Formats: sequence, structure tokens, C-alpha cells
Amino acid sequence: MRPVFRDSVLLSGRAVGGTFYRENASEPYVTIPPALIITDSNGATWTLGHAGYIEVFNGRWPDWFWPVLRNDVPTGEHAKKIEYRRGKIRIWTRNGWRVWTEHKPGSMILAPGHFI
Amino acid sequence: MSLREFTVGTKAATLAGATTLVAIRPAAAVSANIGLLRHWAGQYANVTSANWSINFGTQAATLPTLVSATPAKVNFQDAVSVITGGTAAAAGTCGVNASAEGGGTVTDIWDDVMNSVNGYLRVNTPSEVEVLAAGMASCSRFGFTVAPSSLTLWNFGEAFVEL
Repeated sequence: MRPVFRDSVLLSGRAVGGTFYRENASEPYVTIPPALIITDSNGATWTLGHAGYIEVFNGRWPDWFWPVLRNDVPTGEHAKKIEYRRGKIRIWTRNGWRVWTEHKPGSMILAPGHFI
Repeated sequence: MSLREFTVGTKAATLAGATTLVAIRPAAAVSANIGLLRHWAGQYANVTSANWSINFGTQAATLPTLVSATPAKVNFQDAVSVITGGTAAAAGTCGVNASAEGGGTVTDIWDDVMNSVNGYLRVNTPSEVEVLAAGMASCSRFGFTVAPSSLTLWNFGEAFVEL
């Protein structure tokens, strides 16, 4: 059997309790769900967690918003969707679309943004 | 939702050759119904892009042979689940990574497709939660339609609530 290819050039990030290795960042417009993970160009792995989700009543049925995890660490944000678009992570929150933007190396801010 | 919630699954598993990833069978009728909140599957390893058919349904006897997996509490203060780990999808048990499919009739509830690079996550809306009635003779079955060609380093599971 061919060994699993693990090289320092691979992008790696954590989600659902383990490390995902990917050769490339996710394709544009990959969306969670139905995808499980998005790998951004820095190698960070994004997913929607389960524990700590919030329930919002907005009409007959409640809405659920799930914790946004980056490398298995909660970002403090809750969303129904995470989308990778034009190299940026955007999330659908209770207050609409928000976009994660790197404003200096290693530091990201979340800003409103319907179109990016 | 303030009811007791649990996850059952496995990490970095090598698929045992059958297609059932997770099977849960509720306990006897006096026990709790089981509501399935989410299903996921993904592969840690750097993989070539490929699409796999994935589905959810129920299976009547004869049931699959599984690896026992104990449900993990989502909220630490909760008591343990009424579902325990088991290898034969007996009443009140759950298991993962089937080594042999049972010959029982499988009834599909939904079918979908997942990509190996992106993985698969299905989060049910409240009205979509699949409810397994206590005392049912069948088990739930989340898995592939056909076993994928790459069998190593899979992560998969389900989250459920006791209703």
C-alpha cells in the first residue's frame, strides 16, 4: 500500500478532533454544510461545531446557529453556513453575512459584508 | 435544545470494508426516542478528489456487525445515555464502522453525495430531525452506498438527542 503522503508543504489544520491534511485550499464556493471542512490559504481548517449551539425562535420553528470553529477552536461566532469565496471565509450569522479579514498577519477581524 | 445530547463516532478509522458507518437502535419502548441532529464524515488524509454516494435509512433484521462505540456526552453535567456501545445493533446499542452488513432490508430515508476533499456534514433543521422510536426493531444506518476506494483515516459520527 502506498504510504499516506505527509509533507511539510501540505496545509494542515484541526477539525472534529483530528488533523486534516490538504494539498490545496478549498475550491471557491465550498460551503459548510454540506461540506464538513474548509481549508483556507493559511492552512486553517474551518467547520461548524455542535456543542454550544444557540436556538433562535423566529416564527413557528426555531433556528439553530452553530459555533464557528477554526482549527477546532471556537471563534466566538455562531452561524448557519460557512462559505469560502474569493479566498475569504464568510459566515451566515443571525445578523447576516460576515467576512473574516486578516488586517495584519496572524490577526483577523470579522466585518459585515454581503458582497466580497 | 435542553434535552440530553450525545455524539457517537470514531476518528482516524480504517474502514472495515462494509458500508455502514454508524448504526443506532433505540432501547425498549419505555425508554427515550432518539432524534438525530447531525451526521458527518471526512478523511484526515490528503486525498484525491472523489465523490461518494452517502445515505441514511433504517435496516431491519438481520443487522450489521459493528465496532462498539460509547456515546459521548455533549454536556458534561448530563447522565450517560440510554444507548450503550454494542456490536450487533441490539436494542439500546450503537456501533460504528461495520465489518459486515446485515442481510436485512434497508430503507433509505435520504441519499446525498460527498466529496472526499471537503467531507460531509448534514445538520438537520429542527423540523428535519430523524426520530427513531423507542422499541423499534430496526436500527438507523448512516453510511456509504458503495465502499470508497480509499479506506484509511476516516472520521465519522452522528449527534443525537434523547427525546
